[in-house]
Amino acid sequence: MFKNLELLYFKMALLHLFRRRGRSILISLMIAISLIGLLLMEGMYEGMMLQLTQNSIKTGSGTLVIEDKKLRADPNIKYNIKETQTLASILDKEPLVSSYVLRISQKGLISTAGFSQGVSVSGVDLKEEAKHSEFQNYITSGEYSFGARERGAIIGYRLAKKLKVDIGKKVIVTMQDVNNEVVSVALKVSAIIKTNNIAIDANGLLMDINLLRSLTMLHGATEISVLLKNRDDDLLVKQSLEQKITDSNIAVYSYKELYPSLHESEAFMQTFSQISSAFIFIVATLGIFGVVLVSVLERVREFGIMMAIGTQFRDIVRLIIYESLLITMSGYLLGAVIGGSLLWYFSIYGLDLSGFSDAFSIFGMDSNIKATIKQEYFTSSFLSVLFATIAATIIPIRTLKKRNPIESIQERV
Amino acid sequence: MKTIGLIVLFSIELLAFSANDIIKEVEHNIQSDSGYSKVTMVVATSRGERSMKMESFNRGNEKSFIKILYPKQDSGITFLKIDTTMWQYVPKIEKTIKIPSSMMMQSWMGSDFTNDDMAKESSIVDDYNSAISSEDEKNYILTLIPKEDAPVVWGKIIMTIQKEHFIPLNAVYYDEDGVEKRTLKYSDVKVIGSRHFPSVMTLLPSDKKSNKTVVTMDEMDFDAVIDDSRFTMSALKRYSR
Amino acid sequence: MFSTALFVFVSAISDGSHKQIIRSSVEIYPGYMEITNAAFEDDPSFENLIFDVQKAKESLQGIDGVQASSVRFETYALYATSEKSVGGMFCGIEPENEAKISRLKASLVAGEYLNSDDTNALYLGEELAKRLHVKVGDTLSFISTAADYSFAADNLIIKGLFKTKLYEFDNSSAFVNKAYFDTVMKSQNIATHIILSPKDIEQIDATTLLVQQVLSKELEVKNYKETMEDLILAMEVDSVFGYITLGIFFIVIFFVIAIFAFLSVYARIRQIGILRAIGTTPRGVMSMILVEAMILGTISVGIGGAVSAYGAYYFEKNPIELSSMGDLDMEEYMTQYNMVAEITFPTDFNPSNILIQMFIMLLLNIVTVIYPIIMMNRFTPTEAIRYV
Repeated sequence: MFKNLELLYFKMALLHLFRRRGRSILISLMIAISLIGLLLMEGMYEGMMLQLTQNSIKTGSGTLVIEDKKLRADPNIKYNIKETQTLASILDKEPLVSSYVLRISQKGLISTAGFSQGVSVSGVDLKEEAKHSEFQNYITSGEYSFGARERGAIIGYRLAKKLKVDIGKKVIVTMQDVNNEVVSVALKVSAIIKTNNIAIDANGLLMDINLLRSLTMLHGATEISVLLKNRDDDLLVKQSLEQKITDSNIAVYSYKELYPSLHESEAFMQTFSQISSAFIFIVATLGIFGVVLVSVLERVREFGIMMAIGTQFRDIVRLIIYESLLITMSGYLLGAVIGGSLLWYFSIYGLDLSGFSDAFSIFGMDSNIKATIKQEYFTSSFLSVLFATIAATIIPIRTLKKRNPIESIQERV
Repeated sequence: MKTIGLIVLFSIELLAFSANDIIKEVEHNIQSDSGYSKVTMVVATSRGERSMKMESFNRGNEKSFIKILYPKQDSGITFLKIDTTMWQYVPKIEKTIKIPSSMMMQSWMGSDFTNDDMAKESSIVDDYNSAISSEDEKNYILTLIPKEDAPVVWGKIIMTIQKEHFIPLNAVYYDEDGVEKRTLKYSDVKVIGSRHFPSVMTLLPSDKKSNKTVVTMDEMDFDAVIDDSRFTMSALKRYSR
Repeated sequence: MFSTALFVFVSAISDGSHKQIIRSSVEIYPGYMEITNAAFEDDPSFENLIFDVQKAKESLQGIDGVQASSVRFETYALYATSEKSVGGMFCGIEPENEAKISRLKASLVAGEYLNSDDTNALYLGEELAKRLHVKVGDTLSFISTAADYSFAADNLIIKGLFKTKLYEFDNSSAFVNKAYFDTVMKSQNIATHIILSPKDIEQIDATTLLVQQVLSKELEVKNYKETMEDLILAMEVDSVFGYITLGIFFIVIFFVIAIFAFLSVYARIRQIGILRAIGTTPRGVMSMILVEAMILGTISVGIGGAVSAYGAYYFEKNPIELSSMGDLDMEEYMTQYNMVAEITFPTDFNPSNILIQMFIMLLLNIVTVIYPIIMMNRFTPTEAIRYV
């Protein structure tokens, strides 16, 4: 009996919606379209942020970086990691670590016959980096190699432009060794990279780590860059590493400490999209509210009759809620399906904003933005729609109660 | 056929050997293991001319000490170079400052020389492969190509050397693309002992026609007795007065 | 009405914050227009300076669009204490004029700003002071190359510290009075830059052109749109996202208005049916409702527009503080991007923009009633009267 009654209300709600199909369609369309917009916005924003973060992490220092404690305050390569073997064996055993590489970073001067400027030199092992930072994917010209004699250099595209050098040209790099003596080396440009990581593009030079070792008389590395299987495990792994590393001179940093701005812009973007969604839902609630109010008021007599023949007021409330939920949920479904598939499309093919690519790369972004899809986009928007619907029905129901439907039967309209 | 090949090969070796030999003779003429000199440097730019005098002490290519004598406002400024590191003492502020590597490539006192030119210790023989590209009755023309790994910015240097006493006449510096960047001219040869020494050097950058740097050796002692204490940090201040 | 207010306000915020970021980045130090030697950009050496500052300044006098100008000589120096030496920018400025064209004076955090009688007084970036371990009143030496390529060195007393929140700038720059600078650096009547501020920023391109015409040909003037192209582009990117968001707002608002229009027309179906029954034509009904919608729309858009315009105006004067956005340190965030860390978001009070937006809302309002009226005119009068 109870179930049948429930079904009956459901049918009544459906029938009423059909009778007023114009406004029903409007409401569902409104919800569908705002949902599509929201989903796209959220997916795009997060996709952009993800690209930015991953780019910086991969081509930069990694999710975690291990280095001498004093290096950050006083960037002198005498503060380096000597016991790289010990650290490597610790990292090998860490299950959440996906890859790690040794690097030597040193500031220096790069010159040609006509020009010289500051440069950030990174000594890297290209074979290892291919699995780690994947620099090979960022090459715009030349080969991902330091040549047969390891005397090559891969330089950032902005730096190349400024020095007016191309593949095969010679550059002289001057820097200090571990004893603060000035040393120089001639390198041939073997490739030019564009990573969208401004530090590398404008100032970066990659050279063979062993050549840099013999040049600077440094035997280990200045940093170990670590990538994790899951970026969010950073603090967990950091703690575990800190426990296992006995050398008190060595520190482990997470990317969140190194690039607080990255982490914060993620949070900023999130807050921004949350505020926008809230805005949109408030406006949408207003729309739902209007429809519900009108549909309740125009049926005061109808409800009066229903109550007169024994229907409880809360059943009428239920009827109203059913009605509203039916429209909004159909809108939600439509929006989720269309928005979801659009997101899916953009997550695979990306949205090309290359007209602004210059500006994007300033912020370390790729101009082809790939969206992300998360389940929580759908669940949170579902809850929002649900909430908006219920919030929109409260006032109409209270108004209805005040009007006292039974009395209203006698009203002449 | 074989003999011809052998002769060609042999002659190339002979030539290459003599090119290096020429450079060694040239270096003997202008370098000293323990030298003292008084120098006038005149720097001309599009904005006028400026001259300065200094005295210089050196031990081989590794250590040198320079003191500025003129103009008056700059007198007493001293420089010390040990290997590739340079310090400067400025009496006005009573401080000794290590010149950072970023300043090493900058122009040295407004001249067309760089600090790096001053601080380079390697000799031409170490950094370049040299060959006689042509010769006439009076002069050798040498082409110097940097050795593959030599940390020099030039693409090649063409030197003209007078045969008789191995006196350098000029050197033209080119970048990697073969574009002329600067010319160094030597003149006013003085004979000091066994050396034939060009006492005036003129540096002309190719892209700035109005610029010129002329270095004149007013006094020169190739076998000076110089105390070791001259090449220490404390000398910077001590010999500043 | 509500939606008009919202719409106008949101777009004002978005435009306002962009203008704000650009404005503060420009005003912090770079300036709106800069005059340099035309060859200075490619080769910033002492060969390519402004060699007759006086003449350049005189030629600027006739130009109406220029509000203020200030002369700068920027070069590189090594700053040294007895323990440490650090390289950085060394700049001679005209203290009073500088205060009119940049926020350098306003960025003071300790001690005092410079004045035109100062000699060995240094106005130093706070971060650079930290690196050198010095404070106000301490002595710091500099060595540099003077404009005539002679050595320049002197002891300076730190008079004040500044913090613009542009980290790189605060970490590498220091200023002295140009009159003193000229004596040690041999730079009388010589400068690297003359910075101008325009009377009207909107007219800056025209003013730039005028200035270029009066300058001698070895000099060149550029405005911030060229010198800060990166920032402008970045703002454009942000605008793109802003407009997308705004577009979504717009659509939702459109629907809400449509719904209300729809409801209000339907609520009166019977009334309209009667009107039709007594002989009003569908056209008549249409125009009647349109006029009504227009009146209502104008009133609501008017009120909404007025409220939000006031809001935009008010918040332009009293920017919204966003410093307390959860655990998010906005200041930190902006500084990291080398943007000026202003944690306030002023709106951009731009009457023409507001009017355009109000007009759009009004138009929308009217468009949305057309469909329901057409729908309704399909009913016969009798059907309409019986419509429940």
